[in-house]
Amino acid sequence: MIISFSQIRFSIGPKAEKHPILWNVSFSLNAGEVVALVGSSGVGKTTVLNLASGLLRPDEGSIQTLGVDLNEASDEDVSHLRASNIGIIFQGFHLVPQQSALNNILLPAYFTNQPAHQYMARATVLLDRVGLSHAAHIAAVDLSEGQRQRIAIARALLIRPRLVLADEPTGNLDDESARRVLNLLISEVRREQGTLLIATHDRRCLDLVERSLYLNNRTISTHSSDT
Amino acid sequence: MMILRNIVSLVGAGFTWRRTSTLAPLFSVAMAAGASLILMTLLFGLRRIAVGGVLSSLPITRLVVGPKQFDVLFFRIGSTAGSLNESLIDTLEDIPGVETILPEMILTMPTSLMGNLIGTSFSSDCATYGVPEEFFPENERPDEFKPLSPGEAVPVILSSQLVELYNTGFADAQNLPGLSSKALIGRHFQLFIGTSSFFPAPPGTKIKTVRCRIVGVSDLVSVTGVTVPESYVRQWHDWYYEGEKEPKYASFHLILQSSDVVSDVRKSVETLGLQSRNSGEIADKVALLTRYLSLATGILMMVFLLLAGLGTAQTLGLEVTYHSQKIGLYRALGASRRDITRVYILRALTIGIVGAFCGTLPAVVLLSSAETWMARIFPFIGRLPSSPFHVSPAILAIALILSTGASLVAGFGPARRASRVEPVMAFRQRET
Repeated sequence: MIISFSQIRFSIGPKAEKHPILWNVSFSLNAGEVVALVGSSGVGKTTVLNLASGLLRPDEGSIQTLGVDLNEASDEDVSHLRASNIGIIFQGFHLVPQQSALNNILLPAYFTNQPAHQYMARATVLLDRVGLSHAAHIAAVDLSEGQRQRIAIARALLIRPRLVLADEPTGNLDDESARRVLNLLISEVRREQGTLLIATHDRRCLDLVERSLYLNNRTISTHSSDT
Repeated sequence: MMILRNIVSLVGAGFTWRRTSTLAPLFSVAMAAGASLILMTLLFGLRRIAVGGVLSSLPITRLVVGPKQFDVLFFRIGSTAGSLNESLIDTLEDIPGVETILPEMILTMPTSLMGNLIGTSFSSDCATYGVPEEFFPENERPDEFKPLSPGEAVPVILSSQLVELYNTGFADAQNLPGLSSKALIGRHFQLFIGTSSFFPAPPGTKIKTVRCRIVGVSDLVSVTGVTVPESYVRQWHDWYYEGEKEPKYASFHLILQSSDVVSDVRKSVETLGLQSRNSGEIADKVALLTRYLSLATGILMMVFLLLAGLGTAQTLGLEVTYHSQKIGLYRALGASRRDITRVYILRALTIGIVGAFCGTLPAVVLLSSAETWMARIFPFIGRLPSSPFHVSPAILAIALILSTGASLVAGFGPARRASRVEPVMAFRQRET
């Protein structure tokens, strides 16, 4: 099991005025799966990804990611888990604007227990795979939105993560660009034999994933992508 | 956990450190380092001069032991000045730390003198003391101060305070010129043994008239009389009392092995019912002054270091706010709270080290050149026993460590704040 959510409850706001986001959410992801978490904007998809990566802690329930109980694990353990086994594609990309495309891809290597320069060859390969070898030394701020999207994907794959969490990877892309980005992401994750959870409100990607989880009314319902 | 090499790379390239946020704390640390170095150098330089130059020249290890006396209202209680016996010498010799005993013998019969100075006759009652040649340090001892053949004038040393007494109390009132001590050297006077104006000798008693010659002045002898070689006093005593009385001593000057034993020897002397004095009071005053100087220097240094620390803390604190989204990103990508703390601590340490070197280097140059041009303006600086501008490696190291330490300590607050940045909260402020 790569991810296991059990009876997760999560609220935001001050204690007196807690606003529930997730209510008794349970689901699991197996190794090698490519799954979409579908829901309209603001329904809590990003929260699910943040909980899965340990960036947030639930109010109640238990989460296991890659065998680590996130409720019990220390900050050091959760950070190590993210640094060594989880690749994250953020909704806003979160690239370092002044740094080059290559350095942005290389960034997760700094948080591993290997010298960062050892990942240079892999970063170059990934840059090539996302079709941006010509932009290696261009600052992220000077890249187009589509290019930045591809840099974010390459960055998430740098450490050969066992789990990739992608938050709205198609964003505001047009149909053609969205399909190309999704194909690239899924093929790269499959090439690395990883597991992929894509949070999206874009139903265009449903035919590319193996199954979908639907987030509605603060809880998740499971449907196969075949149905 | 991040490895050190990656942390160093991240500090160097992972953040876009703003120029002002680097230069401002660097400048304040450099100022603190430079000021600390200059203050410490001057302080230790002055202390070296005070302790090495002034205190070492004081006769701190020379203790003057006399009879214990104290005042009660109008009366002085205790033994008289000439009440010390020869037997005390053996007792004093047994005190640990005492190297040599120099006795100051006193004639117990009345004595007086009469002379002529710049055409004015004078006469006065006086005490007569006898001391060995070794009583005076070699560099202060007049060659003529030794027993001479009969018929020659007896060599006498007077207190240098007598010259002051003449200049301040006598010369002005009598419209006489002021004199230096050299004016007295070589002058003759007559010493009367056995009579004085207070105790005129009854008819039939012995009186001896001795011709004396002043051979020197000294701070070590008593102001109340004349001091001659010990053998004369012993000889006059035996002549007067015909061996019926033991000679008496006004004081014993103890030469001690080192300044470390002064306090113990003084305590031992006290237990013998005697009292002692030395130049320790001056040493105490110099020590007190250097303590005040040290305190003032310490406070000034603390102020400089505090300002440097506050400057660094404030600038790093602003950087944490400025970089909060980036810190959030690094946390999301796998940096632990401890990693982020280490990044900021290393940043503060780098500022501290670079700032400390940037501050101490000009300070060393400034102090070296100050020595040259200050000696030109104030020539006495060249004659000081040691230079107050000399930068010792130890002081340099202390200045470097203190200023680097101030920056390092100042980095802990911002580092802690940075480590508490929550990635999810930080992402809400969109950066990229």
